Amino acid sequence: MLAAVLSALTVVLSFLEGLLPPLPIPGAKLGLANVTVMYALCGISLPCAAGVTVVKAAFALFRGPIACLMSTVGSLLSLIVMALTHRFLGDKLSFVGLGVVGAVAHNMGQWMVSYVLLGSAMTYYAPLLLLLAIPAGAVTGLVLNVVYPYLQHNSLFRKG
Amino acid sequence: MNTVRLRRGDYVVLLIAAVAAIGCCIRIWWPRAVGQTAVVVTPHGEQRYSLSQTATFTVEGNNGAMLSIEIDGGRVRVRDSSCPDQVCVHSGWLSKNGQTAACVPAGVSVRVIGGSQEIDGVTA
Repeated sequence: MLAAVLSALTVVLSFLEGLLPPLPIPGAKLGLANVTVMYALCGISLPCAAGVTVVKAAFALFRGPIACLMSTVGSLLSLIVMALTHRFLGDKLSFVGLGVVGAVAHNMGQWMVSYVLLGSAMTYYAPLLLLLAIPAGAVTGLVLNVVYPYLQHNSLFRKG
Repeated sequence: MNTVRLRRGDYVVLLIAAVAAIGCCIRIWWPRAVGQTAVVVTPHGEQRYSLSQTATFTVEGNNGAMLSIEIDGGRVRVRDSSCPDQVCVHSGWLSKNGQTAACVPAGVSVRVIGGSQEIDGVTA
């Protein structure tokens, strides 16, 4: 039930983000939908976060098969890295640190797909993606830092 | 206000990420000279064009995608593309060694090479 609500929220966030004016850098996105993935991971459970991630990736199909593939690989890599970080370093980080780790992993996953598809020309995008991941991850993390306590107070979003 | 506070680890992560990103930028983008040749890679092969000419031509990518590529005044750009994302078009004019515009759905990339300082060693 909760996973379904969070999945719906993820899709809505992705859509709303698409309404924002596009960033001046080709291919760059804020990644607001990662807020719900991080909430599912830290507030509920890894399977819940995995479910949300799969729904998010499936909805990327609307942006075309390549976008879906890049989203899937990026999101899954991001989830794996965030889950490991949360498991082993969870008490040392807030969502800002976790968000940056996740955003870097996500962008590197996307970059790997584009590298496989396009070859070494993509090397030149890697620094840009890495740089952009830092503010993007920090902003999504800050959002969750603010929102998390309120979500935990709401019985709909609490675990169990 | 009731918020999750930043922890020391957050700053460590930000610092490590910033150092890695800046290091990556320096390694891959620096130094950059004005390039002389555009390398256009499509699923059908690779073509090189001198940037000293003025020309517009069309290349075909995957799934029948068509990209119009323009060379003018020592610069090259993807003028328009039939792909959905238009990332390649938004990359704009490219003139420096290493600058790249890529259209992932079409499998096409445009890269400028051949400045006075070759940095191909990085990609090798």
